[in-house]
Amino acid sequence: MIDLMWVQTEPKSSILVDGVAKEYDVANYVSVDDNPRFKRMQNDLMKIYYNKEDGTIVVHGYVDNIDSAGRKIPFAFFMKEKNIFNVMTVLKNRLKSVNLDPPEEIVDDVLYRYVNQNFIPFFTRKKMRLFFLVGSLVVIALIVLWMFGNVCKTIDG
Amino acid sequence: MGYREDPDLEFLEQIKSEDLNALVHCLVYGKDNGERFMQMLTYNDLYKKYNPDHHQYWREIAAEIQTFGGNTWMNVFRRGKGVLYREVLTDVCKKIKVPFDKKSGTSEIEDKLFLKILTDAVKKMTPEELKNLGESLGKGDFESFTPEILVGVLQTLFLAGGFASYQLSLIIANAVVKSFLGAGISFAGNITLTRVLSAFAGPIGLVITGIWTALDIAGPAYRVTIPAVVLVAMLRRKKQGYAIAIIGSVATGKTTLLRYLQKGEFVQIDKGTCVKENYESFESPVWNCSVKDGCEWAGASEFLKKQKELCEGKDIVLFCYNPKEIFENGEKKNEFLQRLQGLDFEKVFFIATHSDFYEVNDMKDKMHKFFISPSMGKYTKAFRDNNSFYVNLTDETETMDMLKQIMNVVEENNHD
Repeated sequence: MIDLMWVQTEPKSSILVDGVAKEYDVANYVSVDDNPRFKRMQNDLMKIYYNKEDGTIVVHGYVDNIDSAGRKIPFAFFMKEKNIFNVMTVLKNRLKSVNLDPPEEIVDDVLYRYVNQNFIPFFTRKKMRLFFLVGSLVVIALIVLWMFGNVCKTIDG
Repeated sequence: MGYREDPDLEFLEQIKSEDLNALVHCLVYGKDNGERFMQMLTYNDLYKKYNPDHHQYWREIAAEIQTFGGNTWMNVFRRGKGVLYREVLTDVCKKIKVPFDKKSGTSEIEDKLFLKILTDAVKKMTPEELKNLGESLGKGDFESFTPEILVGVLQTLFLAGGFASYQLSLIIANAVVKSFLGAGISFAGNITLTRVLSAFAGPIGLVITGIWTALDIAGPAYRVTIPAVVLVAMLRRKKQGYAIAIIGSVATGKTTLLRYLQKGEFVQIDKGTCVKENYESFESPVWNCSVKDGCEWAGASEFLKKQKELCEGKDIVLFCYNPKEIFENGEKKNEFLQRLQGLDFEKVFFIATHSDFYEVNDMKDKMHKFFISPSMGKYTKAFRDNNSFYVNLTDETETMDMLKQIMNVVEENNHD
C-alpha cells in the first residue's frame, strides 16, 4: 500500500508515504488538474479525480482548521482505489499528528460517492443493458418453467 | 460596407487609438502615401467625426479588412460585407506559401505566418548578418551562426510567448509594413530591439520583394491584406498582455496579490491555495492591461520544483516573502534561497509582505545586508532599489501604489 498525502501545515508542509511523513516530490502525484486520464468531480467541499486505468484517486479539500493567515488549510491525497476504505484511518492519524481536525464530512462524502458509484461507475450503460437482458431472460425462463410445471401438473392430475 | 460579427477581430475594440494608427494607415494609404482607390473607410461618417480617435470606429476598421479580403463582386452579393478575418488570413498564408493546419486556431496560424517570414528572412542573411543577429539576441556563444541555429533560437523565443515574442512580432510587422507602405510603425524600443530590427530590415525586405513580384501578377488586394493581417496579428500579441508568475512560500500573500491585479482591491482570502488552481486571462484595472491566463500553485515546499516551470517565459515575476520568517526560521531561509535558483532577476520583483509586523527601515537594512553578503555569491546583484518593496497587503493604497511602481519599472525596462 502506498498512499501519499499533503497538508499545508506551517511552518513546514509535509507528505505521507505508507502513513509516515517523508521528503518526497508530491507535486506530480497530486497535481492532476490538467490530466485527461483523470475524471474530475467537484463540489463545494472538494475536488475528486479518478483514474480508471490506474485505479487511483486524488482528492483536494480543506481541513476544518485555519492557518495563521486566517485561511482554511488545504490538503490533498493520492491513493490506490483498493485502499479507499482506509482513507479515514490514514487521514486521522496524519492530521492528529500535526494537531489538525480530520475533515470527516469530506471523507464521508468521498466514500458515499464511491459506494454510490458516482465517480467510479460499475454499472455502465452497456453493463446495465446486458444485466437487464440477462435478467429478463432469466425471468422469462422461470415463467416458462413455472407454466410448464403447471401444464405437467394439469396433465398428471 | 458593413461589419460581419467576427470573433477574431472583436479584440480590436480593446486596442488604443494610437496602436491602431498603423493599421488605419495601411488600409487607407498606399506606398506613395496616396489614398487607395478601393478604400471606403474615409467616406464613413464615424471616421470623419472621430479620426484620429480610431478606437471609436473599430468596427468600420474591421469591416474594411473583411471587404479587402473578399472578392469585390462577391462583396456586392454579400450586401457590401466582406469575408471573416480567418478567411483573409488563410488566403494570405496560401499566397505566401505558409504551411498551416486548417483546424488550428487563428492565433496559431498567425504564428506560422510570422515564423515563415522569420525563417525566410534568416535564410537570406549573409554570414556577417547572421553573426550580428546572433550577437544582438545575446546568443554570442555559438562558434558559427548557421541559419538553422538562428531559426531554432528565434522559434524558441517566439513560441515561448511573453513580451519577447510580442517584440519579435513587432519587428516583423514593422519590416513588412515598411516594405509595403514605405513607412514603418512608430514605437519606442529598447537597444536590443533596435539592433535586431536593423539586422532584420534588409532580409525581410528581400522576402517581401519576392512576394511583391508575385503579387504584381496576382492582383492588388494582397498589398493591403498582407500588411493588414500582419498588423492585426501583432496587435493580438500585444493585447494578449503580460504573462506573470507570483511565487513565494505559504501565507506570503500570493493569492491576495493576484486578486488585487484582478479586482483592483483587497479581497479577504478564506481558503489556502489547494495544490494548483487555474485562472483565466483578465484585464487588470491596476495595470490597465491584459494579464495572460495561468495557474496558482500552493506555496508549500513540495511544489518548489514546479516554480521553474511556472516562471518560464514570464514577463513579470512577483516574489512574495515574509522577511521576518526568513530571519527567524532557518528552514524558511533555506527555502527562500532555493526559490532564488534559476530566476531571471531582470524580471523579478521582491515583495516583502506583512510589513505591519516589523519595522520597515530596519528590515530593509537587514535584507540589503543579507543580499550583499559574500555568501550570496551570484545573487548579490539580484536585490535592487527598484525591484524590492515592503508592503502591508491589507492596505489598499500602499499595495496599489506598489503595483503601479512595478508596472512603471517594467515599461521603462521595455523601452530602455
